[in-house]
Amino acid sequence: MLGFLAACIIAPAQLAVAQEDDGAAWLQRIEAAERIPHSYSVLRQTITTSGGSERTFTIRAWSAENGDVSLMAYVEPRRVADDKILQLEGGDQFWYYMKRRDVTRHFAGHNRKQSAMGSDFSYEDLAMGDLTEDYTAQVLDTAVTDGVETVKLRCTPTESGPSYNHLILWAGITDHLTRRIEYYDENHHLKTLTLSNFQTIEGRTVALRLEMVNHREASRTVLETLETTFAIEPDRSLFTKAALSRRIP
Amino acid sequence: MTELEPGASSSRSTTAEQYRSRWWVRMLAHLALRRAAWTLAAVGILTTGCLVLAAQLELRMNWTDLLPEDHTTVQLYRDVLDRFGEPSIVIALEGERDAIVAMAEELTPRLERLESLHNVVGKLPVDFFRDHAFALIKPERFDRTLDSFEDWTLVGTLRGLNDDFEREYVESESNLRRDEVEVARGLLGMTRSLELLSAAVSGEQGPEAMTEAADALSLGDPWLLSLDRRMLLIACTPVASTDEVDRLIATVEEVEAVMFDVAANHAEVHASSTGMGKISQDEMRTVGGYTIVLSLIALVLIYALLSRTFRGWVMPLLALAPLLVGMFWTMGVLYVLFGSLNLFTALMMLVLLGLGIDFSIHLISRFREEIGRRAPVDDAVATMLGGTGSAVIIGGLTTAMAFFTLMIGETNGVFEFGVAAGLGVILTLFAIFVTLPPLLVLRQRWLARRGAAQPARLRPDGGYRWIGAVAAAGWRHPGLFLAGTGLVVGASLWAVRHTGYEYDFLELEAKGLRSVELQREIPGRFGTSDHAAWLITQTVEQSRAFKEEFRTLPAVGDVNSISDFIPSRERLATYAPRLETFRRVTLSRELPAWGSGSDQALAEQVERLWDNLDLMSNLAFTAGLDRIVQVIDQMTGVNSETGETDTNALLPTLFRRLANGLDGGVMLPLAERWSTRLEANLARMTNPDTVSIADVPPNMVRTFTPRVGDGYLLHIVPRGYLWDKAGLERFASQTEAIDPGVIGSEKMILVMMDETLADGRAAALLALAVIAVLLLFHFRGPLGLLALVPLGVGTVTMLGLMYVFGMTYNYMNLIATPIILGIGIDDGVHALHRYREQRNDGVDRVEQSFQFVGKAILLTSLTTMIGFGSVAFYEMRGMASFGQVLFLGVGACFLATVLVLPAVLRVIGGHPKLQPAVEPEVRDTSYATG
Repeated sequence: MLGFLAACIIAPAQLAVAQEDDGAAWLQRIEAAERIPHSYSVLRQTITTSGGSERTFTIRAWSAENGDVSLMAYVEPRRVADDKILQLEGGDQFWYYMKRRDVTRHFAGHNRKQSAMGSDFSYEDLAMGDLTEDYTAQVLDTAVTDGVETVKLRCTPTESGPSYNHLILWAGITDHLTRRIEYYDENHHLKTLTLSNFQTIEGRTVALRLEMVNHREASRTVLETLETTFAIEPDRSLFTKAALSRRIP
Repeated sequence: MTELEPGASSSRSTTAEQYRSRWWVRMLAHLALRRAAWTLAAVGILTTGCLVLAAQLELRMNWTDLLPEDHTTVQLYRDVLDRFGEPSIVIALEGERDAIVAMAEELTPRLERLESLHNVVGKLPVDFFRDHAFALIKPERFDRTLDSFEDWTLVGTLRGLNDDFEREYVESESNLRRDEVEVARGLLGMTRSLELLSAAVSGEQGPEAMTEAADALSLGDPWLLSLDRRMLLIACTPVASTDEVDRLIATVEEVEAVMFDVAANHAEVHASSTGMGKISQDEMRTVGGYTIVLSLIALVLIYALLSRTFRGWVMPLLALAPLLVGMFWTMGVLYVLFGSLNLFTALMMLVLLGLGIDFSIHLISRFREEIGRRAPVDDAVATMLGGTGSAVIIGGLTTAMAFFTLMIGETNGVFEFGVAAGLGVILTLFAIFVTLPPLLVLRQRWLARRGAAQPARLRPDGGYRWIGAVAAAGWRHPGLFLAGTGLVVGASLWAVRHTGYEYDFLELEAKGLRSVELQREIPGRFGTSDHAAWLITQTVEQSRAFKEEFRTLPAVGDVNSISDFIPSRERLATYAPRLETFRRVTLSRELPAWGSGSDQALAEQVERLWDNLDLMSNLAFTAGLDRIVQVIDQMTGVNSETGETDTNALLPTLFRRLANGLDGGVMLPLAERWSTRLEANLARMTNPDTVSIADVPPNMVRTFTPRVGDGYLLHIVPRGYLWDKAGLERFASQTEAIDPGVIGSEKMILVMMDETLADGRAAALLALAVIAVLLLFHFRGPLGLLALVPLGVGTVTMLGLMYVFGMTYNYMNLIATPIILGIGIDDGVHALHRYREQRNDGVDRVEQSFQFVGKAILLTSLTTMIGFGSVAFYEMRGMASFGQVLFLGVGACFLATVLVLPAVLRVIGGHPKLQPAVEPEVRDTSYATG
């Protein structure tokens, strides 16, 4: 009896996967579900090094144009307070502004694969926006991830895509939201991103906790969203180099 | 008629006769009664001989002595130590940079003249680097380094540096991470350079300071300085290996004598030393002195306890004298077998003191009891030996066998402790059985001559009624007591799984030793561990290739290799055209001289440098690259906590001095000195000639090459001090993934813990099996296994108490479990023995037997606890934990015997095998101590 009931519940989901086992279609669905036109958030980033030391940063973040442009401003600790990182062109261009010396430095696009401000996220991880352009995908399986029925995809970067060899991505079958990503180079499992604490805010379901575990460095970075809104579109002037040195209210 | 009733002399004579039928009783009784003086004289001669041997015992406090000899990893480790040596003496000079450098300049040549030192590494070979610096640069940094020196004027050099920073580091935290060590070292050189520039600009130093400033910027600071530049290290490799303890200690003393002699001329410098050699010396001083003091304290305490129990001062002396004889015999035999004492066997004196005294107590008690009953001396001796002596021998052999099981240990430390403790117990047992009876007989004869041969009849000892009452309660309420026991055992088993393991060996050393404190301080102040793992390579090129692989590992902080001094021919062939062009074309250019506007240009470049360094520091801060943060923040004056800037720091001060404008002509000689020196340096640094090992300074060659044989040593330095299993394993697994031949103390600690844990487990199981067999044999049936109940409960409770007291497992206290099995079993054996002999029933039987035997095992437990308790006061925390654990274990076994065994007997009660014997073959009367 229980088996029959379970089959009734699970079968439709499996049927959905079977009918649409096209990886590209899944990437489109995920992209559509996670696309956020613009947002403002307050984040707490905690980096734990392999030696066990911990550094915590509080950051204000604005994004627009479906994530193609963004601005992050450190709030704490005091050493880096009011330092800002501006990202344009979908992560191809970065600028760092240091409040204490009132100087701005440009980061070239070739550094996208490098660690973003000491965290276990690379700049390209943070800028991961256009899935359908950056990856091709193949459906591998279905699985239950953190109690949610998910589809498991193998995502291979396109020529213009990120520097990884491939990713394994788990996304909810019903909500199409990413639950976990494993990052690989040719031979190694490099990192694992786990998304959790999903909440619906202003009609959008988003993960409020992202944890990136770096298996090679034995370090981890947790990015928690303390507050967020999608209702107000940030002023476009915010995403300019000239605005970096201005005080943001 | 009980054996304690008066008028039983005929029965006792019969019993004595029975005992005399045993050959060994006859022989020992003969020696005591007919050859007492001769026997004692022979014992004296033998003891003197053993004392002579014991005096030659070396004390080897090095933990590497405890490692398993036939373990491949250990053999490799020893091979490296033997062939290459290690800098086991490290001198640390603390103070202001100029003061510690001045002392180091005087001290280093004197150390180099010491014949007992194989190598001294203090100042880096500046002239060698001046002649080959660019040839030694890694390919990814070659072009940009040359680019940055294309203009060697003061302004041009700073501009080149700024361009380079902005190109390579400011934009990339990953580049900083990759080059962290080189960047930090380079920044220390830059700090020195800017410091001299600032002093010269202000007039505090003359223009000649610019020569050193140019050297510091182009070649770096030649001394191994801490990141705060307040500590300087000089590494000394002794000729003596770590196995040659005496020579090593002598070398440490010689080095320290020179160090303190030079320090007398440098009052502002605090000089101290560390390293394995120095720590060994400190340990020997600590342990040696403490062993004597603690042994004396233990002796006094035991003497006081015995004086109270025996109500006199002579008997305790008679009890202790044979024990000391046994201990000296043991030391003599240990010298013949091993020639030295290690960390474990050094504890033997105290362990034997606590254990051996029990044998004397049991025998003297029985002798006094027999004499008190007016038995003839020869009957008293026979009964003492054949009666109580049999039980003592069984108990002693059980303990010795438990110790001998440690011989299955793979680690030397555990093996040697097994041999030493097993032999020690047997030799002490033998010494007591040979020496104590003649002493008792002679004393009895002396009393007889004084007319006191028949002392007042000893009244039967009443024992301790409270112990009997507790045991009776256990009998009456077995459910309650067993439930309580179950709770304690359950909680202890939980605790066993939650007690941590101590992988930080410094936590096992004595507190307050400067040599130990420095071990922890140096990694923090220098940004890398002070000791390295090693890999032997066959060629310079192999060293180079491995270095490049290892330096990318997250757990690795630095890699030092002979290839750091010898560029590859292929690389040099690639470099040569650019180097020659730089020499021929670039350096022949006429650069603009210092002129109007140069002041402002210099100020701009200094400000730009300030910006770049501050930005680099922020990048390093977010990335956790603390070494870079610390060095830069000293220059910029940034307080990491507040983000505020100290305007008196180096760069703000220099910028202010330049921005405020300088008197005309001040800068011209400074700039000219700078340009002249840097140009000269660059002309030599761009030398495209090949470098062979013959060109490398000898002390550097000795760092990487063996004293005998071939090969090169690669030094792989962990990123920080590794103190936990996860860190040690991560370092080991990352380095072994590149080559399994990587060896070092980090890996040895893992081997040692794993092996000691395995040894402890195996020995405990074997000890348990041996004890079970002996119990089955002695009690002639499986009911003898009941003696294991208090032992099991006591041992598990001991482990639970470790958790309660916040203790952790370490390589020393891990072997406490098999040891406590050997010691703790005695309580159960004596209690079961006595219970079996008791001739009444029910609760009375338990109450009375425990009333008497409880007192005896309490006394023997207390003496053993005094022995182990004194170990617990060692300054060396590892050794102390060994004593603390056994102290808890002995106490727990006593309590388990009194609290648990009666309840178990009640549950088992009525078994025919436990019914009282009508005529016990062996009567254990050790309870009658009064």
